Amino acid sequence: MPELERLTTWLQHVTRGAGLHDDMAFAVQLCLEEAVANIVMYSGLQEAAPIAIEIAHSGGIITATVMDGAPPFDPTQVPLREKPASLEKTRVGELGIHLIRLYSSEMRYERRGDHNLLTLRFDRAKTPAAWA
Amino acid sequence: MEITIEDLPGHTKASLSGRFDTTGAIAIELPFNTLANERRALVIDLSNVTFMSSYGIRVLLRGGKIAMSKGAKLVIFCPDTAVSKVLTRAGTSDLIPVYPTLSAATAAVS
Repeated sequence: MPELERLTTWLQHVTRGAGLHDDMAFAVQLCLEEAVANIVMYSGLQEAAPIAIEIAHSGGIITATVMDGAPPFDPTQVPLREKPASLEKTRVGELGIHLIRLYSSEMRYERRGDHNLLTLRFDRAKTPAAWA
Repeated sequence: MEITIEDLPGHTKASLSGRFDTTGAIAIELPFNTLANERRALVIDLSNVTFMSSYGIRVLLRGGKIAMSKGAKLVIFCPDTAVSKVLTRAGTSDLIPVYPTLSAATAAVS
């Protein structure tokens, strides 16, 4: 998937350039990979359609937005993943949003015109448990 | 992402290296499933994996399910890194045994 490879290279460059702690850089890369992979693989968005990603860094807080023109999809409304009782019974998919919840400090969604806008915040003062 | 397979006395070691992200996981998914289907005792070495995404976890879980359905053993060797934290936090280590040392992982399948 060339889009995701380009995203990885760009995110590594951005997080290195911002001088983020390793744990926060990992969290930003993970959550944005999951958000964009969901759009690319499951949203029905046409291959050539753009996905816009912005990252802002201020006062130790990273704010990332992902905007796409796919049909409405609000990941904040996806039910929390229940702990599986066994390997046999566990679902192998649908983990991406679970990881975003674990690794971001906040996830917000809005439908803006014909676009989905996902905003993720990463705040060391509200360290997600997953960073510990 | 690369996968290196070593058939050793009593078990097989599959060493993965690189980023176990969506792109990497898709690249090794088929050989990984084949391995899980064919071997009886499998240690998955993640010590050289630098990143783990949900698709990587998906490949590990599917491999674990395949091995279980064949009555085979599959365990993971992963030192304490950001990658092992993902496995713990996502609950993967509750479903597939994860060991912090290679010797412990090997002993578990022998």
